[in-house]
Amino acid sequence: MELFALILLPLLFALGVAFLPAAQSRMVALVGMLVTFALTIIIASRFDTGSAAKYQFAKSVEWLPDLGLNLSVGIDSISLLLVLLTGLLGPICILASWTSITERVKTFHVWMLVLQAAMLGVFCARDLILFYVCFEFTLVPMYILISLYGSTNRKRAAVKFFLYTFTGSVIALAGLVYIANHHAGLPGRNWTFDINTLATTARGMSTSEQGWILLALMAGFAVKVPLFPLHTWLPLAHTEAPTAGSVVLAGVLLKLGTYAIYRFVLPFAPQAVIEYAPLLAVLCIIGIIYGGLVCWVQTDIKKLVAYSSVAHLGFCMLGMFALNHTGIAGSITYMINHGLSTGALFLLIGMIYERYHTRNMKELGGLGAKMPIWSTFMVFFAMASVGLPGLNGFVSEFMCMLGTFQSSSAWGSSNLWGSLSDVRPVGVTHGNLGPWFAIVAGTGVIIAAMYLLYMVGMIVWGKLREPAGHGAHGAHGAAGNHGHHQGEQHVAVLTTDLNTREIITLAPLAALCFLLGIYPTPILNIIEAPVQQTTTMIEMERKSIALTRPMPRQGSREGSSEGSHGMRAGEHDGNHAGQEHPSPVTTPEEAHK
Amino acid sequence: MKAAILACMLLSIAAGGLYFLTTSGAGSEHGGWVGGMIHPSSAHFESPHFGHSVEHAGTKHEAAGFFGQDAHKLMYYVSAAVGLIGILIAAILHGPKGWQGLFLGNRVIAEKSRADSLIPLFGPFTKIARNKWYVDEIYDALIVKPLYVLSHIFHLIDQYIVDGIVNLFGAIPRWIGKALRPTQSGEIHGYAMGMAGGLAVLLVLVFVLTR
Repeated sequence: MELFALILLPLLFALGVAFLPAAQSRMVALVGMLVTFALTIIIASRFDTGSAAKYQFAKSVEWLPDLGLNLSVGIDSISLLLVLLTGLLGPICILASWTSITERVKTFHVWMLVLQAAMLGVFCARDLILFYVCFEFTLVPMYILISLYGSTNRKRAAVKFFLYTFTGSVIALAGLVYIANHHAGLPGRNWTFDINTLATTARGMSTSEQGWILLALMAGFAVKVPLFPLHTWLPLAHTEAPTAGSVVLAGVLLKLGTYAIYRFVLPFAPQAVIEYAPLLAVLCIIGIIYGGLVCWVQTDIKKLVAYSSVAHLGFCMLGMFALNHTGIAGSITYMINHGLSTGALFLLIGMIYERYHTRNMKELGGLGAKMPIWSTFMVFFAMASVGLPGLNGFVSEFMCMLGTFQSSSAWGSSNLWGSLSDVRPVGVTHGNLGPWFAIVAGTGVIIAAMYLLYMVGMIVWGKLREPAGHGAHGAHGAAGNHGHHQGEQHVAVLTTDLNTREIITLAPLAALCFLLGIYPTPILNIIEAPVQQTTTMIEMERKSIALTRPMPRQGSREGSSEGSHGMRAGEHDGNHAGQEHPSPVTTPEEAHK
Repeated sequence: MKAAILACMLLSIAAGGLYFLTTSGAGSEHGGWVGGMIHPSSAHFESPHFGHSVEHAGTKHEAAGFFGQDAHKLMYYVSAAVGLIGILIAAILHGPKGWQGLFLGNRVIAEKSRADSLIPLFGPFTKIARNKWYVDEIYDALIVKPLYVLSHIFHLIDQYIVDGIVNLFGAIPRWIGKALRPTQSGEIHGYAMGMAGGLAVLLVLVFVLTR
C-alpha cells in the first residue's frame, strides 16, 4: 500500500496546486514534494535489507484481468535507491525554481508533481504495462516543462525530445508485447504482464530471438540513457529546459533508461546481451570519448554539462555490460552518483543563469572572487563529476572500469594481451570485454578532467568577466524584472552570491556526494543481493550458451571447450585457465575488495 | 650503476648550485636546508643498521660481491664521494672566486655565476634547457592541438551527421507533405480525376482478382 501511496501523493498535491490560488502553488508543491520524500524515507527505513533482492511492499490490484493486467508494485533495493534519489531531487527542484519560475507558476508546479509521480511509478512498477505507462508518461510533463519554461530554442527542443524518445519507446513496447504474446501462446498460459513471469519466458527463447528483443528494447531504452548514436536529443533538451527540468532530466529521467536496461534487457535477453556485450560496450566507449571531446569545445556551460552526461552514462552502461558483480554494482551506484553530482551542476548553472542571463563561458569568468560560495560548490561538484577519489564519482567510475577490466574469459590465455600470460588476477570473471575496453574507456576519465577543469578554470578563476550591461547594480535586476507577473509578492531579490535557499538546495547533494565518496559501503551492501541474483542468472545463461554451442576444439589444447563459457564460437580459441580456477565467478566478497 | 652515479652527481651539482646561488645577493640566509639535505644522504640513510638487508633478504643482490667488497656497502661510500665531488663542482662553478668559494656559507648573485662561462660549451643545449626541453610545446603540438581539432570535428559530426540523420527522419514526412500538397488544390476537376482514376484502379483489381 505504501508504494501506491507514494505514487498517488504527488498526484494528490498536484490536484491541490491546481485548485488553490497561484500564490500558494510553490508552497503546496514544496510541501507535496517534502511529504513524498518523507514517505520514501519511511519506506526505506522499513525496507528489510536482509532480503534486499526480494520485491518488498509488493501489492497487486487487478486492473483488466482478461488481459492479465495488474497494477502491481514492489521494490527491491535497487528500485529503493532510485526512489530515494527521485524523492530527494523533488523538493530540491521546487526550491531551485522558487524565483526563476515567475510565469504560469501553477502549471509548472502541477506538472512537476505529476512528473514526480510518474518517475516514482516507473521505479515501483512490477507490471510491464504499469511500468510502460509511467515510463511514457514522464514525457508529457517534461515536454510541457521544456516547451513553456525553457529558453529561446525551447519549442524545437521539446518536440525533438518528445518525438525522439517516444519513437524509441514505441519500438521497445513492441518488443515487450512480443514477449507477452509469446508467453500467452505457450500451452496452458494466459496473458500476463508480470515482469518476473515474462522474464522467465523470454529467457527460454533462442539467442537469435533474444537478439531481436534486445534490439527492440535497446531502441527505446538506449535513447533514454542515451547511448552514443542516439544521444542528440539530450544536449538540446538539457540546454533548453528550465533548471528544474534539467535537474530532473539528468538526475532521474536518464536513469529510467539505465534502470530499464537493468530491469528488462538483462533478464529478458541475457544470452543476446552476453553475445552483443562487446558491441554495446564499444558504443559506450565511443560515447565516453566522443562525448567528452565534444564537451571540451562547448562554449555553453549547460551544453557542456549536458554532453558530459553522454560520457558519464557511457561509463554507467559499460559497467553494466561487463555483466559481472563489480561492473553492475558500479553501474547502479553510478546512477545514484551521477544524479547527485550532475543534478547539482545543473542547479549551479541555473543559479548563474538566473543572475547573468547567459550561459556563455566567454562572457563569464573569475566568479571565484565575486561569488565564493557558488564557486566552492561549483569546484566541489565538478570534482565529484570528474571522479576525484574521496568523492562519489570516483567510487562508481572505478567500479565500472574494474568490472570491465575483469570481464574477460581470455584472462590467463594468449588472447588477452597477445602473448601467453598466466596472470589471472583475483576477481576476474567470464565475459567478453576485458582490459582493452577498460584501458580505452579509462582515457575518458582524463578527458572528463580536461573539460570539467577547463570549465571551472574559465568561469571560476581568472579575471572577472561579466556580460555587458551587467555592471554595478549587480545581479539584482534579474528577478526584479519579472517580479510583477501574476502578482507575485514574495519573489525575493537575488543576492550577489548564493542565498540561504540556494545553499539549502545544494547542501544535501554536497553532503551525499561526500558521504558516498568516503563510505559507499551501505549502498554497495544493500545492492549486493539483487546484483548477485542477476550475475548468477547471467552465469547460468553463459553456461547454457556454451552447452548449446560447443566451441570448435583447438588441437593444441585438449578439452578447452570446457572452460569457455559464453564466448562467441571461434572468437577465442580457448581458456585453459578456466580449468585451473574452477569457479572464477566473482563472489561478492571478492568484488568489493 | 653508472647511470645512478651520474644521476647522483647531477643532482648534487644541481643542489649545490641551488645552495651557492642566491637571487637576493650575497649573505642571504637560505642555507639552512642544505645541512638537512646532506645528512640523510644515501650514505647515511641506507646504512646497514637500518635493516636494509632485511628488506632485500633472499635476493641475489646480497650475496654478490664487488672487488671483494659488499656491493651495497661499497655503494654507500661511492655515492657519498660522488655527492661530495658534485658539491665541489657546484662550488667551483657557482661559488665566489678563489679558494673561499669551496667553503659553505659563501654565495654569489645568480647573474655573476661562473657557470655562465660554460654556456658556449653546451651549444644549443642551454637554450633547450632554458625552455624546459620544450616539453610543453611538444605536448601542445602532439596532444593538445590534435585533440582540440578532433573535438571540433566530432562536434561538427555530432551536429551535422549524427543529429542530421535524426533531423532527416523528421524532415521526410514534411517533404512528403510538401509533395502531396498540390493535389489538395480545391479544384473539383482534380478531385474528380482522382476519383475516376481510383475507381479505375479498383475495377482493374477486382477484375484481376476475381478471375
